[in-house]
Amino acid sequence: MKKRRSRFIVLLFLSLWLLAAATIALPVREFSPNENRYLAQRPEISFKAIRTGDFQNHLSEFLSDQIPFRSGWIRVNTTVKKLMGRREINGIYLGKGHHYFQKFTDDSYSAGRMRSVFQMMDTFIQEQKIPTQVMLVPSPGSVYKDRLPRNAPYYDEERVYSTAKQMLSCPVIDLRETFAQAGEGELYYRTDHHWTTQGAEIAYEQYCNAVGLTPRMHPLTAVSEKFRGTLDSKVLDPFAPKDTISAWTDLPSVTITFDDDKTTDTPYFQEKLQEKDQYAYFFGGNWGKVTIDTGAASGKKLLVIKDSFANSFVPFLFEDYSQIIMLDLRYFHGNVADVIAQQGSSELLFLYETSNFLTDNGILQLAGNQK
Amino acid sequence: MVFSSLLFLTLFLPLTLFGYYMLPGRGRNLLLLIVSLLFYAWGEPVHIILMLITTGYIWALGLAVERVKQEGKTELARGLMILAVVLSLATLGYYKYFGFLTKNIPFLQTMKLKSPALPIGISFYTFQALSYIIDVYRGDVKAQRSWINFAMYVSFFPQLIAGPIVRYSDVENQLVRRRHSTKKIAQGTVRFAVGLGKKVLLANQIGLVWTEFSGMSQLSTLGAWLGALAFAFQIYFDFSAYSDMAIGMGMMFGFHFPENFRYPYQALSVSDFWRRWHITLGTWFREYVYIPMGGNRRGNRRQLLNLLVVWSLTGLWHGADWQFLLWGLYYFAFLALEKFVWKPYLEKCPVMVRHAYTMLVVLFGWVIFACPDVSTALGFYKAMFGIGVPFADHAARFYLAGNLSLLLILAIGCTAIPRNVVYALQRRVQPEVYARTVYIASAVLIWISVAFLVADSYNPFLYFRF
Repeated sequence: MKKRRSRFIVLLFLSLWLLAAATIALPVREFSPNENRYLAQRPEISFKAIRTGDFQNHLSEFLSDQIPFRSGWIRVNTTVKKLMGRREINGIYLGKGHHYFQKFTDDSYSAGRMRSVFQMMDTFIQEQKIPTQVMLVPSPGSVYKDRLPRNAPYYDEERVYSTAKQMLSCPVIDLRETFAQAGEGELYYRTDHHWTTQGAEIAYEQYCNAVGLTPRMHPLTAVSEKFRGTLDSKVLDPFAPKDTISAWTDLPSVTITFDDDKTTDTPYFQEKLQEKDQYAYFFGGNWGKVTIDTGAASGKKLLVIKDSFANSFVPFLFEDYSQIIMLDLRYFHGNVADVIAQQGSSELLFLYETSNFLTDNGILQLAGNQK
Repeated sequence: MVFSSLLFLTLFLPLTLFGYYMLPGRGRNLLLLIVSLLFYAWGEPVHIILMLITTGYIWALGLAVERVKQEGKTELARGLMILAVVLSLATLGYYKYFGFLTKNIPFLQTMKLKSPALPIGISFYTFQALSYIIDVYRGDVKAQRSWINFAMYVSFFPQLIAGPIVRYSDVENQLVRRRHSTKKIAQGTVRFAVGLGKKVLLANQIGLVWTEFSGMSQLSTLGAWLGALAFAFQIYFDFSAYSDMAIGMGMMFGFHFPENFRYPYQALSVSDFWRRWHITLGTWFREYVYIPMGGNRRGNRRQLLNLLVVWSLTGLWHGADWQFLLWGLYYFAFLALEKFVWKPYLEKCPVMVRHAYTMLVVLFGWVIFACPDVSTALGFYKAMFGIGVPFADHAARFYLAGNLSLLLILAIGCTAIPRNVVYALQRRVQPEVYARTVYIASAVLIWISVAFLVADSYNPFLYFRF
């Protein structure tokens, strides 16, 4: 009896200590592809850091981020919660058919802020005097309401669209009806917060109708069949499905300049398909400014102010515009009006996913961007 | 530092235990003092100075009080005791209530004074220090000769930040002489595992539900009830978990701490509830405020006044703001009513009715306690009574369905049923089998808690206002 007791005590505390010892002794990882984020590094000891408590906080983060088998611990957590009947983990709804949704409710954004953003956008648009389209991509949970977990609270998208249509003096492309009627294909990834290339393609057709272009369709080719995206990162469910990424792979060669620096001839980054965040296949992820010289004969120049949803959409426009500039205002901090003047933009497109748009801070800098 | 963190579980506790049992008897209290100060200093190193000063003068005054009392100078002893009490209450008052006063007194508002940050655990350790000096004056305990022993008693990390409030008389002998055995360490470890599991696997999980509903702009009746119930479970499982962990760790180091919770949600009346909830705080107020003021021996009117004082103080002890005072007065009202009006009727009611009555009072009490201010609490009450809100909405149905099994576990877990099941098991199976089962279950609890600590970002410390 006594032996068993001692064994229990020693084994338990020794194993707990070994966990910390292993965390400290093993090589430090910089980035977690699984979770798609940078991990806390070894804290630096200094008198000042200890006095302010910085060292102590960093040490805690370090232990949690660098713990051996981190993903394994998270999987245990997810499995226990699922067994308990929870349908929301880490702000992700576990919907029907293994479809994950980012939780977003009417309390997740401020209606007053939304109005002032639209106001500011409209002022900007009116000043530019260029034909402008605003495309607000419906949120996955609104399109696939029936796939949300039963009764899961989700925001009322109608409020956003009606405010946009009422406050903006330019046309608002409303994809909701088209998406509702789109038949079989998946419009959004199940494990990622983005739309699929099929979804973007349908949006392209509607965009063409809105600006008077004839859609030039190419066949979609699957480029990856083992994609588990950002929503999966937060849940790490061992039973999550895999998504398929497809693209128009037969596009003519173009010249793409990233942040006035690096150049390529294709929007598709093959090597990103080997990484966790495979959506970065499109343009290699997000950049502040991307300039695409397509060589198309139309002579039209398009400026796209956008979030990451545009990355899989913009390649469809390569044969319609001679030059396209994409600005991601989360990373681009120059003056947008200057870019428009320099490019001599003939058309302007705002492309955001709606819930992203409601919480994105980048767009606020438009307020300071006058000619 | 908090117990429910990887740092504490994987480094602090194993290393402290190892060091403790490697040392010969003499150095052990010093080690506990050093690690306790380290534990305390972890979050806000500056406040360690305050701790050293407090333990320093209370210790010195304790010796002085005893000395002059032995010399027959009772008045002087009394004066020294009062000096110690005033000094430590003034310190507590400055850190805890200064901000509240400057916010609410017009004259002080104009002066734009900066209020200090509240040192964690100050209410707990001040009360411990006070129990010591008062008991020394009363002659109930001997003054502690060694500052190390005394400072270790005040700052001992298991009970430092969230209780139980251990009175000096509870541990006077244990400070110098206490028995250690593998049996005690093992029992303490099991108790600690139960506490950790309660905190991480139950309190934190149901706490998410409360956070959800307390942040909602549109409530429904069902949602408001679910939210209030979630908070009631969260605070019980969280607070009693801290006490479990404290008592468990006390045992690992050979101490025996008083129990702090005795299934409060099984209470049959509001006074019964307070005999089961945060027992050491109630005992403290009874011993050092209520009884010295005359308790119930000086007539009804005086008793009512004494209750009013005790419950106002109890309210304000939990936080320096109006809703806490209101919460204390709310309990004063129910306790007074029970004592003077409906006790005879209540006792005739069926047990189920008495449970229901008690739980309703407690539940409504938690709403005042949990809301950031009185007007938010009023809004919450309105929703609970269905005024101007729908009966149920998506959110209420969603969180009810998703947490049904958790709520069931909590409802059973806050009664004595699990304990009775364990006792029955103990009687029926071989001691060997029983021990093995308990040890494996404890280890599993701890390791699952580790998984939750790694994965979940929500791990609140609820007593930062105490």
